[in-house]
Amino acid sequence: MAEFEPRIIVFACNWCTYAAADIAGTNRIQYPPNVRIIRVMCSGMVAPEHISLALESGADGVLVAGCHPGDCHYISGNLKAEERVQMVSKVTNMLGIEEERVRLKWIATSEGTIFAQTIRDMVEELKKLGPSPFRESRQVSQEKPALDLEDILQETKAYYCLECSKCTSICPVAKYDSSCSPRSVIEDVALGLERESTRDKKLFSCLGCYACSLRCPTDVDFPAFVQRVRALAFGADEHGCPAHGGFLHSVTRLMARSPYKQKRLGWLTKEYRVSDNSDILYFVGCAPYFDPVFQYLELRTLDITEASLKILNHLGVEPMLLPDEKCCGHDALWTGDTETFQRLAEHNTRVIREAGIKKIIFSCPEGYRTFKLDYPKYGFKLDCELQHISEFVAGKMGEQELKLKEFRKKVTYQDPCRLGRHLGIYDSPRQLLQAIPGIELAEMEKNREYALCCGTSAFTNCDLYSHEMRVGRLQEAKATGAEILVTDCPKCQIHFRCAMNNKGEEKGPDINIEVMDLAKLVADALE
Amino acid sequence: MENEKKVGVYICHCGLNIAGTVDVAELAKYAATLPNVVISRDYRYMCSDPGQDLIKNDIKELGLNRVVVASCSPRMHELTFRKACQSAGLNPYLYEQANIREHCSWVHADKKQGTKKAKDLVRAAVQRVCYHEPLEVKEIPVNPNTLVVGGGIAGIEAALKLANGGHKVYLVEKEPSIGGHMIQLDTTFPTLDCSECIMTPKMSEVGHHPNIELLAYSEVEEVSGSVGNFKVKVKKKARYVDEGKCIGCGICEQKCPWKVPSEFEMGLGKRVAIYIPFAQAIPNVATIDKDHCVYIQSGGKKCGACIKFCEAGAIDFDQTDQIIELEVGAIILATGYDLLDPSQIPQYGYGRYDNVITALEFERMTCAAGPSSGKIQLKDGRVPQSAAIIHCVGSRDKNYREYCSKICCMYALKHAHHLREKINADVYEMYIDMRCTGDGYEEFYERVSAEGVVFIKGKVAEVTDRAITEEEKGKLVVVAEDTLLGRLVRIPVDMVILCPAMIPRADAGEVARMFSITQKATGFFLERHAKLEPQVSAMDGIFLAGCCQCPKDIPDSVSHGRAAAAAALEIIDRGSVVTEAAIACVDKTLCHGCGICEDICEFRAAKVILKGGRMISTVNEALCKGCGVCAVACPSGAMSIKHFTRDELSTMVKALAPVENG
Repeated sequence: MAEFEPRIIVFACNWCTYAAADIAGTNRIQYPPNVRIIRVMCSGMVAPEHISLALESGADGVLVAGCHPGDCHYISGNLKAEERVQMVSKVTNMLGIEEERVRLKWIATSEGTIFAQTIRDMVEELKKLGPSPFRESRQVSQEKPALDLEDILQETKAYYCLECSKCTSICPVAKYDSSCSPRSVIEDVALGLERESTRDKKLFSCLGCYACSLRCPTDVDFPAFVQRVRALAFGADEHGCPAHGGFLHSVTRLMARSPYKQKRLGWLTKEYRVSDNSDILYFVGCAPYFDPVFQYLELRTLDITEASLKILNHLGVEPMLLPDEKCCGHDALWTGDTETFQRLAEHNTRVIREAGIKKIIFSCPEGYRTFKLDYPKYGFKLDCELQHISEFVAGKMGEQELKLKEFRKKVTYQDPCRLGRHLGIYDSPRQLLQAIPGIELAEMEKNREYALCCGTSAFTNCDLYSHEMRVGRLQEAKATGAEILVTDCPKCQIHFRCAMNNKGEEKGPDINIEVMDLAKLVADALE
Repeated sequence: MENEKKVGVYICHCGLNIAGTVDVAELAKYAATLPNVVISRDYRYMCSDPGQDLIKNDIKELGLNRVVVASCSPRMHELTFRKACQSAGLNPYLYEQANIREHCSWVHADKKQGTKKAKDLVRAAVQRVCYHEPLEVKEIPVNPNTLVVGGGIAGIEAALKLANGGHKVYLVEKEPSIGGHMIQLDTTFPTLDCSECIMTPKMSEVGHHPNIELLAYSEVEEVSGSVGNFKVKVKKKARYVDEGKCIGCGICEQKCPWKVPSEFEMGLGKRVAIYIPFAQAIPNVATIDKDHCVYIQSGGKKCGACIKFCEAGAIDFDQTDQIIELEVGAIILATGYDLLDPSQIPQYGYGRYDNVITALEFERMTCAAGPSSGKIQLKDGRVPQSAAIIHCVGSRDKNYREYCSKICCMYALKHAHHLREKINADVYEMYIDMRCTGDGYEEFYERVSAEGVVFIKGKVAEVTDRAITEEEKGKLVVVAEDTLLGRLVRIPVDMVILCPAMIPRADAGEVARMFSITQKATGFFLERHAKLEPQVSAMDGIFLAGCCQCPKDIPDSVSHGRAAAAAALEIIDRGSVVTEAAIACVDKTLCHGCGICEDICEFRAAKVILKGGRMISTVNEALCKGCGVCAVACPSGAMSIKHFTRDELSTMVKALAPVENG
């Protein structure tokens, strides 16, 4: 068998490293032909998703190369590149990918020999590591889902649509973006306009918030319908516009296909008691992966995880954490990537079954929903009880007392769509809130099943309208006079914080309010 | 179909340069099989006229709407082939080049491997070129006027060069007269020529120049616009003297009874409330210091001596600050530097001991036109027998300023020379390292060394008046270690001269914000490139001159000022600025107006504005350089860089990362 030849993708800055590679050529400095150079104007142009996409596509190594600090043609683009590569490395290291596979190096124009040597060194190193496992498992082309429009209409009862348009009138997206209409999406599909339906970017604006289904007189499951049509669109290589450059989606795809052992529990300290013998699993979800990405929002999603563990420990529960759990697949499923979703669901159900788990506790409503509703639908069955942390704690409150300090604050509560309308859980979070002495709960105008969504779902089509929804919701929260907006979905928190993130000189409307996760609030109040 | 992509692929042999290691015929055959490719050719020299004609003919005859050439580096011939496309009527940005020479045939010997790699590169280029969009460059006309801020030597040089070149210059100076620090100096190293003598002709040229409009006693208040078309608001502060009438006779100064320490004389001399800062001031008109004028402070009830005695009738207490609006195409900042206040370093006793003075105070003291008529003297009027000159007061010191102030070693030598020459005093130079790196500087060091100056290598620990020996009584004792001898020294002297660090102007931060430029860690203004563009700020059309960028001596400030003028001339004489084509653009539906792009852009090209009741980012096409830093930072994906969109780069990645393809 021929020796393994690694493939290296180099993102080379036009002003230095690309020119250095040119100089290597002019001076006939030989180096192995394993490298493919992509010319960028500045290393600061290389986005995290380009690096992860290269890995996903089977590259054995990625090199981002730019000007030495102080020499950037654009002043500081190289330093931005450094921050981004560090961020990507944090994530890829967590995924278990060897750190040698992602590198950053400063190579100046004159350093043709250094360029050639860098490539030689990388080739040697990568040969030692062996081929990237993603060479084999990469997503080659989407198989068209077995479903067709006909099936989708049947399955989601969309045939019954009366075109009354109550859905459109209640749809939070349509309220801001008049070109959005659940009714007309159904109409296109019913007319058999597959190309039009799947190419419609607005298809990806639906939040799956279930506000429409609440009003539908004929019980059409529009979110499920959208989920299915998106799978068709995905098969035709149609996507919405991914937020954060699609890096999060790319990480999910990598995770789904990765044989590596993750290092996702690096944050876990002795402060929290967990047990490998417990039959209760606490599902950590994506929090460790979110943290490096959302650092710019000054948000630490692991605070929610740690708070949840603190509460569970307080109640005498030492849950099991699975170092090998993967993303639940929620976002993959809701962006039409059913293949990735199924890989993740298969993995999670297998490792959970093998661990002999009887109960799973979630902090993240999306994970909860996906396990509870989507896994069985796709044939991934688990014989366990599933609970949201608020349900679990509320359930315990009867038998065990939570020792809570007084916390004199006026708060309001955001019902996450996945927890509220999807799963009907409205009371337990409120019970928990009110168990804290001194807390005054002021409900927003639209609450419980009428609550408005935080404005973005599955990190897709995070557009102006999405922003306006968030602003609208935050204004509602402020109108209650509350000091804190409590929610129990990490993504609600991300999206609200993002809406408040006004960095430019001009400032938008004053919508600043402290946003906090319910678990964090409760954990902080524990004596 | 309208949108059908028709790609032509051209493989260059480059003689044997490429054909030696890449099977070009095979490569051309391969390219022909790629989607959207309608013609694929190989040719000996694509950059030759017949080579380019192949492309031009195919564009016309086959209706190509995309072209890929696989040849040398795009840094070599991208422009050549873009022009070829353009001359055949194809937008030049619908072109892509695969580098199969420098990045392939020249660095790999194995023909099979070389051909395989070349196929990958061509495939990626073909896939990417389909995403290219036609782009246009824009030309923005340039206002030929220039604003120079700061009338020190660097600003004066810049202004004169531009004005002599026939261009209108507005020179704004915040003090009553131009001249800056240089006009305060007695002599200049290493030639020891009198500073005033070389400076005043320049100042007077500025004052009389038909192309220079001098706005002294004025400050910039607001700057808007961008390269080629800045709008600047300047506040002309009220002098309470009509500049048109005042003839600078100085009678008012003789009559005004209200004395205050003179800023120009570093407090060593006095001026009155109505004053001309120094004899050769330009403009040579009086200014009333309203904080010390009793007439103004008493609401016109007291004094008024100047009104009575001014024969020209120039006194005008009704004057108010005026706002003048200027339109200029380029701006040169020559705002200079401040000196570190040595009282921040208490161990040197500045402000506590009368005879610890700064080097600039010493300049005024030795200057024949200064308050002591050039007499070097102690506070009590005695002539000092000895003096210590302490280098690096706050420079090269992490507690104060880490950098070297560059000029102090040299002026310290100059002061030593004057102390030896004029009063034959014993002089001790207390230094860390002697840095004498300019033309004739080392020779000057040699000369002063030979004059009997004592050099002690050691940072001074303290200056004290506590004598421990008889000899030290009544003296200032300079305590240091002579590191060359490895022993502590206590040197009793009459006078201590401090060489304080040159620091950014106190308002440098405010100025940087106003002009949308950046400061370095030192606080000085950041240049675009430390070596190649030290006179250019990050903001297009705004240039830097003199010590506002970093400490400089006079020759360097002069060169820097002229370099800044040349940079301004470059855009003025061209008459227009051409924008980059591959720049950032905003998707209006996706943008939230969060302003992350505005924050991260080094060129102030991205800006969030309130438009149609919403916050939205906009890109100033004249400023954007197309680096793409904003596009990566944009959370929603609203910002993208033309020609390097996410799709284009992803396509390249997907084409090049997998191994089994091709």
